[in-house]
Amino acid sequence: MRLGLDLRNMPPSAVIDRAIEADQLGLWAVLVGGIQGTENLAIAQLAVMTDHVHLAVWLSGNLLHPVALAEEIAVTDHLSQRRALAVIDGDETVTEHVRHLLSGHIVNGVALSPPPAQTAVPVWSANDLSCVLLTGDLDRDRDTIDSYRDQGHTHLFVSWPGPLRTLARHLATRAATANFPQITADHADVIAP
Amino acid sequence: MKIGIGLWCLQSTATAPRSFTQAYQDLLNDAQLAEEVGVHSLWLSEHHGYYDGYCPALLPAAAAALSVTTTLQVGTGVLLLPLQDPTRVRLATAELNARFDNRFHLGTGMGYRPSEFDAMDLAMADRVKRMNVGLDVLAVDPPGKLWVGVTSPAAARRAGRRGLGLFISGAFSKAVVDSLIAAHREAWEEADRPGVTQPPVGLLRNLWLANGAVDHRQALDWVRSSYLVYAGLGWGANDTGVDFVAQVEQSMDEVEASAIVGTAEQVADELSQYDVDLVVCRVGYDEPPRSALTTVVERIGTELVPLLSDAGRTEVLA
Repeated sequence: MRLGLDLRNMPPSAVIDRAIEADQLGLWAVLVGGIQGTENLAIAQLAVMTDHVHLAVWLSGNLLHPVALAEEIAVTDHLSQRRALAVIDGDETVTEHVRHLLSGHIVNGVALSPPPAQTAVPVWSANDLSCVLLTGDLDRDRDTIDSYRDQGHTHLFVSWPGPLRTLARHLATRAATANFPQITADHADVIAP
Repeated sequence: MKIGIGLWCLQSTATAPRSFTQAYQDLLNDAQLAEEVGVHSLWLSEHHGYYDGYCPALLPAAAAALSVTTTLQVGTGVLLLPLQDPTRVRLATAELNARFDNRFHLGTGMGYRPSEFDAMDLAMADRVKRMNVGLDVLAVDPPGKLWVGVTSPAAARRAGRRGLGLFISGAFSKAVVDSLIAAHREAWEEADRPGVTQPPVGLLRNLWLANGAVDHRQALDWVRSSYLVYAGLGWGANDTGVDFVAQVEQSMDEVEASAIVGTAEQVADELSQYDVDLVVCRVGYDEPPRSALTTVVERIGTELVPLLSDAGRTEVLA
């Protein structure tokens, strides 16, 4: 299971700092929201300020036409060099419309131009996305991660109150595999705190 | 007079195929170069569903260009307002200006391609009404510097009576440009001068800095060929003598006649005859190699900008 960092409830300056740190620590993705209709501005900014982390945007599906939504995501996919992900909060038909356009399908006679850089940008319905608020208490949070991983989730977005290094060291690693050797994280805390 | 560069359309054309992702990375590099050499602004342009990927989402593209610069102004020349929810455009404009020190300019236009309205489930017949509603939403307590792209006196009056800046399309004769400026100013005065300060006038101009006959001819050929894009898009402006659909070659002759190509001194002499506050040098053609583009951007910044820095109303866009 891949662990992403949910930044939707953070102020803009903190979003940038946390996303840059997540990028440096090798976290898989960050999830960003914002005022309805402006969400992709933050994503575009992060696209040029990070190199590796995937950039997931939480979009309202009610404000823009699905074609316009897909066009914005395609542009951010080029700006980020294939790192765009999208979550649509709205009617499922809108999500399907956007997903099809970003997969290269012609929908109602419209083909997306430019197409995204990825062969298909992953587009999730908000209802299907797993997001969880972690506590910063590693004993409790380990159990939460184990539970989602063992249920077969492929990815999970977490809100995390502590240092990102702790998340990367103790929980992103644990999410990746059921047999994570905890001793490596615990000892790393000693030798590289 | 401020000097900007445009139009960055982020295309991969039949003339010059390239990676779209590379086009967006080039935008970032070009924005940084423009800032470094002292260019005032870089302007983006929008279309939807065109074969060459012509940029359909200017706001994220602008955010990216603003993110990699600190003083460069970035504008839309133009964003097609009738295709958008104006309240959302207003919010995004305010957000960009809040994030990036008020360096974003929102230029708006009406659009002219039926397929773009069809794709958004809108009636093109409503575009004037939607444009007027959109401008009214933007003009009250403006969220930043606002411009209206125009190709007709009616559009110039639309901008003037709301106290909004005028952004004049690129291939018109000086006589047409002067008539658009006059219509804009008259409308502003007739509307009791909204905004108090006379709104700025910007002029997009096909332009290149060239020394010698060979470079001069080359530049004019680049300008001509770039208008194949507009022939393909179906652009034609009524009452201005430019219709790229019906008479491509004749239209290109007119574009060539209106282009300004020469040394920095020659170009400055010609531009100083225009009563405008901003000139956007249209150098974003698809045919020139990147080295030629970066060279002309450097020359615009280092040679042309100093020659025109005291021309016109210098305080308007300070």
